[in-house]
Amino acid sequence: MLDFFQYGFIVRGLEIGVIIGAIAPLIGIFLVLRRYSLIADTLSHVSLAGVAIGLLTGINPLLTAVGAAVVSSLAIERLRLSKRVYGESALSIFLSGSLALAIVLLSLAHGFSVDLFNYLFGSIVTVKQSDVGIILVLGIFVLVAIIALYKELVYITFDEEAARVGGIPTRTINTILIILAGFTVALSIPIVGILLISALIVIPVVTALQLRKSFLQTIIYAEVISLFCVTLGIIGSFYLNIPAGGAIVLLTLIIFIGVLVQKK
Amino acid sequence: MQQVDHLTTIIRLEHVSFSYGEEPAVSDISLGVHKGDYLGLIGPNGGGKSTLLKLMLGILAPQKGTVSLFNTDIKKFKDWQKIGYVSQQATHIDPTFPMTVEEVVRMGRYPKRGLFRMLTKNDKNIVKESLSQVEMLPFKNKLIGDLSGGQQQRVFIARALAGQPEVIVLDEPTVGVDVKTQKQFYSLMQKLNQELRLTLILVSHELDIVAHEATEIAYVNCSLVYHGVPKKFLHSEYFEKLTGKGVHSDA
Repeated sequence: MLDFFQYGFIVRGLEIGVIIGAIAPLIGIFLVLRRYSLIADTLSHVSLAGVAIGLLTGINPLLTAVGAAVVSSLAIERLRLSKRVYGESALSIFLSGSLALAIVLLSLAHGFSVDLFNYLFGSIVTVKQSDVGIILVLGIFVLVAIIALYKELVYITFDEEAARVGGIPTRTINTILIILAGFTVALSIPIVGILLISALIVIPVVTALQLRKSFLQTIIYAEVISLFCVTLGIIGSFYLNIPAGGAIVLLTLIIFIGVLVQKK
Repeated sequence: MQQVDHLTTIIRLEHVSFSYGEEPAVSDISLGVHKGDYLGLIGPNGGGKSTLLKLMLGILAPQKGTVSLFNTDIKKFKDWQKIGYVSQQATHIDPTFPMTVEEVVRMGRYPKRGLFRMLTKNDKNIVKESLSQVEMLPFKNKLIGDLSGGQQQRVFIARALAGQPEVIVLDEPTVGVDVKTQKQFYSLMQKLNQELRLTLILVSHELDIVAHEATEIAYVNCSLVYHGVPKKFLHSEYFEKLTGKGVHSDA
């Protein structure tokens, strides 16, 4: 029992899993309630372009993914605010555009390697100790930023116009939220991979919303679901020899369906 | 009746104009709101009253003219807590939004606290007091989406009260509410204006009702058509033309 703790990659996986499991629903609740869920998908594709830049240049792909996600999140917000294109069209442009860029860059970096597969679907086996450090520092930064701006984020999410009249700098807070989403998406790559990130950000929150509790209780339930699925998914993947990312997302889906059926 | 302090101007618009494209939405409007006023800002749909409201609240900047709040130019105005705002959201709540009545009213205190600062015991007492004033304290743990339209509206008014404002601005607060709720709403407005001495600005297209409730009327249809006491408005040709009703004869 608990023999998995002898393996360094499992310990590293659990360390970053707990951080990602904690910040994903915290960002997710604001994205879901503001009907911004699709932004997580867009930023994950942007992160792939970032990973491709990393693989091509030899810089840690996690760092280039974070950089690409943050820069793109700012550009998306700017394009949305300019009102020259609709919000969802801005997301669509970035989603397909960054995927195209990633494909071209990856072909320049001598084809689609095993490395890429790990980034697409997540692989805790390949997580380095330096990645744990990066995720820990940036993850804590996201956590502190959300706690610091909690009141403002709640107000803007519920009634943006009233928040603005109340003197809350809504434009700045919206920009910070989208940057934090960029960080969260990019940092989640080693755990669930680019193609499954949005599920981790969205499903625990949507599950908690079915319980019809207060805002704070909804966050707590989403946190519990997320942390439970990430931990069990990583441990389960070790014993069943299955990918951790897929296991985590399937667990969140099972809980979602269970809650949905019970609340029917 | 609440005494209006004509020496204290809360909002002043001078020759304000705004257009979204070629067509002007608001044209050359000058208007003053004084402490203690209960102003009904009325006009037809598309007549520019929502634009005027946004100009008053700094959501839009005037293309011509000036807006000042509490004798300060709106560009330099920082004391937004003095203004309570009940947005149209009050009648358009997503019923699945996970928010209790108390959590909604707490938002009224948020602008008073900075980053990292939690609400104090005093803030929480003010929230309870605000809920009591609108008779919604027993509902504090209910989800906002589970309440009736009239109850939700009271909660939003409590949120505005929680900020301890000097003026409350309400944007189309009676859209989609039944007659009974409407009566309760206007009786609450009278209480806020007369007992709590709050200045009220009520934006509505229901000119007939508002003209009977407010102590002052501003009728806007791109420009300011009428500004004065309701009695005169009810006796004016405008009212007859607009409502198709005969000129009122108030007893």
